[in-house]
Amino acid sequence: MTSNLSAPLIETRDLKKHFKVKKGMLHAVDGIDMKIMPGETFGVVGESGCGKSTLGRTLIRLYEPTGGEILYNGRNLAELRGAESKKVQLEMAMIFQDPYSSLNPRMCVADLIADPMRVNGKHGDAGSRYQRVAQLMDTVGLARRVAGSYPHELDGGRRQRIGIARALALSPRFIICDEPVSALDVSIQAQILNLLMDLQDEMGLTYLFITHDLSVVEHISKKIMVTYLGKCVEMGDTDQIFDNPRHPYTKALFSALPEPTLEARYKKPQLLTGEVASPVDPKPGCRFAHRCPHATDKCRGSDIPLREIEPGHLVACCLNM
Amino acid sequence: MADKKFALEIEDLYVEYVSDETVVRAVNGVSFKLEKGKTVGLVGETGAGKTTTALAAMRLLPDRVGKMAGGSIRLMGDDILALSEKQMNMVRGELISMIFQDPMTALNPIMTVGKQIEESLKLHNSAGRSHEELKKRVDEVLELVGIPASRRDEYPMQFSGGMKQRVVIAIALACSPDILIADEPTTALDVTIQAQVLELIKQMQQDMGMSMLMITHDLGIVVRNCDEVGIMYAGQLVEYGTVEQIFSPGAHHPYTEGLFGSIPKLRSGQKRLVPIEGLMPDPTDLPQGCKFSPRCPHCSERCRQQEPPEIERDGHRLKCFLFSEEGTASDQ
Amino acid sequence: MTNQHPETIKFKKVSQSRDILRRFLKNRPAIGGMIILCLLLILFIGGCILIPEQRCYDVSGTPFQGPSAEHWFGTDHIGRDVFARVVHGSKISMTIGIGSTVISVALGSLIGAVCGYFGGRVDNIIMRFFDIIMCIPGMLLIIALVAALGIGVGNLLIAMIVSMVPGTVRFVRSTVLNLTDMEYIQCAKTYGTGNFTIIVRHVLPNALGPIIILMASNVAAAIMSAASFSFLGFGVQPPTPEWGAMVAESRQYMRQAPHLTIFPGLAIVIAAMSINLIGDGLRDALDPRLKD
Repeated sequence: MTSNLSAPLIETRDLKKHFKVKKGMLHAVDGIDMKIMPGETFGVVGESGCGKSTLGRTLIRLYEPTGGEILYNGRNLAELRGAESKKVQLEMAMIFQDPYSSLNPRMCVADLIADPMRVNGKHGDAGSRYQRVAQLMDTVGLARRVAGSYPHELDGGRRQRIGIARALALSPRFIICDEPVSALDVSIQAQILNLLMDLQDEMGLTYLFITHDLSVVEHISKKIMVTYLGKCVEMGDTDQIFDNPRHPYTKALFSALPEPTLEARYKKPQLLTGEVASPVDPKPGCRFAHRCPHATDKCRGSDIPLREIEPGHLVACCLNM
Repeated sequence: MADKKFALEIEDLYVEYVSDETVVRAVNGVSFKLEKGKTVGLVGETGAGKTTTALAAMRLLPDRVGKMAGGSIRLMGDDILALSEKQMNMVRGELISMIFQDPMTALNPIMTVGKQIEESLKLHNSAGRSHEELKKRVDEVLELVGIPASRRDEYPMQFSGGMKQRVVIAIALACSPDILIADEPTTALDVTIQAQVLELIKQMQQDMGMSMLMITHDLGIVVRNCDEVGIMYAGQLVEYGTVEQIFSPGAHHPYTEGLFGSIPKLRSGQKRLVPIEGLMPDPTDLPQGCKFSPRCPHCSERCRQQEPPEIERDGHRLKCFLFSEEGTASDQ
Repeated sequence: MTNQHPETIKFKKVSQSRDILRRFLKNRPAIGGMIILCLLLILFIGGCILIPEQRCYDVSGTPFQGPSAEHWFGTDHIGRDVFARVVHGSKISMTIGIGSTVISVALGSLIGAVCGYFGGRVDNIIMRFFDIIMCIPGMLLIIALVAALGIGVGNLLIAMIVSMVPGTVRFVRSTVLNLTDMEYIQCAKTYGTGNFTIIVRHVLPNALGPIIILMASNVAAAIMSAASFSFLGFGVQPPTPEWGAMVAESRQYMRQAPHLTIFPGLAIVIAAMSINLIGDGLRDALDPRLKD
């Protein structure tokens, strides 16, 4: 498995995923271009309904994209067939948000972790499969004595560790983390974040980290994409985004974030008016225009393209033109 | 007559949930006083006993299984345990009201929002207001929480999550209660909506002079909205003080420090978080001595055997041996 | 970190079955139903072995005798021993009841799971077809089928299965529809699990609880309807003993000899009720999320 470290592991070009709903077409992902380098963590931030979960699921091909391309190691996923397609599929894995509904309640811990191997005929017989399970349980910090337990007997943190062990079972290179810590208590959340970062260091994993929590994404990611209604509004290195947010939506997100410091007590948050609009048949133009304090007619005519305002820092806003 | 300075006084509260085989000790000796017009925040993780404390104050513990095993609760100076169920029904809504975490399940889906607000007004209609007056009040309340009165005849499903939570707040505030309990009021909402709703609650509180008990797991919300903070762990207040005391560096309970260490801080450049090791204790089988001792980095033999006393300094209360006698912190 | 060869983990998966048993044993009505059903089965099986079948057709006794030491349940209008007939009648009643349920639930679960899991056009066509069958009143459907196929136990069984499948399909489909949203099914897809494996390993085991309760209530209902159709004369033909047919035969003598209808009637009621109670208990015990 050779891959060029300076070439992206995953790349999307104008990726679109629309769903047919009663009222029209729901534009969940609407033209996303991104490049994820091997070994880095790429954070996707946004509020509910911004399409970040759909983006992750489209990448791992739970959904067939409506338009655009996904490139893995420079090869278009849509063109891969048979064994090659399978191989790529197994190099990707996903960790889900809800440690309650992402584990089959009728399977015990060891079987849950062994399932990907069993399905794909890896590690042959049951004996060597469970040997691998034991290894994985050590890796994610699960005591071996819970191997025969069922998910409902365990707490959220340990369930999420099961989910992580299962994702690691086939030694993937790319893991999509869909809000892996938002259902957990803060002290457990910190344990899981540390675990994810350690795993990345040890195994050179690449993460797509989807979350709504800015402090978590800032902590774990190297690059960040802020999405709003299926579109990327701002993208860049974590430092660029946090030190110099340019899009009004990014700014509003930062301002709304409740920071646990005394200074925050005396800062009045800059409130956005209104709520996220419907992603069904959106009108052309900036999707954020109806809540934006700086919106002008220019914002409503046609879609605003991403522009590079400093190397690697892209913003989709008329203000910066 | 008790001191009228406090809206809500909880003293040495114990709550147990009893099932066939087990007894869950959910709250183990919680005491605090909520001054009129102020906000107290209760912070802690799942299972710390925050919500149970609030339900006890509303006398809404689940029948049969949940029972107050000790302590007293006074609302505006009156002991609520002495009230009959009927009197308590009047107290709820008029004197004390509660906002729940999930706006999706707190509203009746087949009743218009206007009707739901009217319902709570009718239950407490001691002034004998007429139908028209009630309708007018519904409109007033809706406008108050930032919903146009014209939406009165819509059903909950026609509202977004943030708007639903506004309706829930409207219902809670319809009868102008003196005390509002907010149980994770924004956990189910997006950040930008959360900021709107928190601002609304703050505004309402100032306008109506309410006292508030805010339950949350988010320290960021506490610092913005509360005056005093209690940190809860395994049914106990391990630390209690003003926001300034809790959020400035100084002497803190190891659990409080663990909580702060677990949150990624923006622009801190720190590579690793410092989580609290281990898991919450099993509430049916709490450890002897200090409840936090199995997870505590400063734990000593004494912590495992004796319950630490509560030490108070300028209203800052700590439940830890580290600070029991000045300078004799047993670190090893 | 140990540098040793990592040994395989040993674990026992007993906790779940033990849990289920413990929860089931705590359910008093279910235990009651279990005991009654066991007693009934011992009585019937023992009776079938000990009492020669010939005794069902032996008309040598005096007609209309009340219960006595010789004839425990008395004798009927032509002097046959009612106890022997109730005992041997259980064979057919129970076979039809259990047989029709097991086959219809097995068929219905498979079709329902496929419809609910895949959705789309196939689901639409299959469901509309079953909707049409469900529009025909159950009783009419069975009578029509038996009339077309010819009267007999086998044909009654077929007709009952046909009338029971659509309800099962609909029930299992809605259960499965709720399950397909679960993230563990999405997750199984991410590592390339085939649809068939997903249905067998992830969908059906989780739908098992509701399916078992459905089965229990169906067995009870099927015993009753097997009896009803025999009562109406579409199933078992005299002189073969069957509970429903026995009630039918003896209804003219209800006034003089009420025991002729009471004993087979009681057999129907007790069998149906005890199975229902067990079904309720099983449902509660099987759901791992309903702890205590």
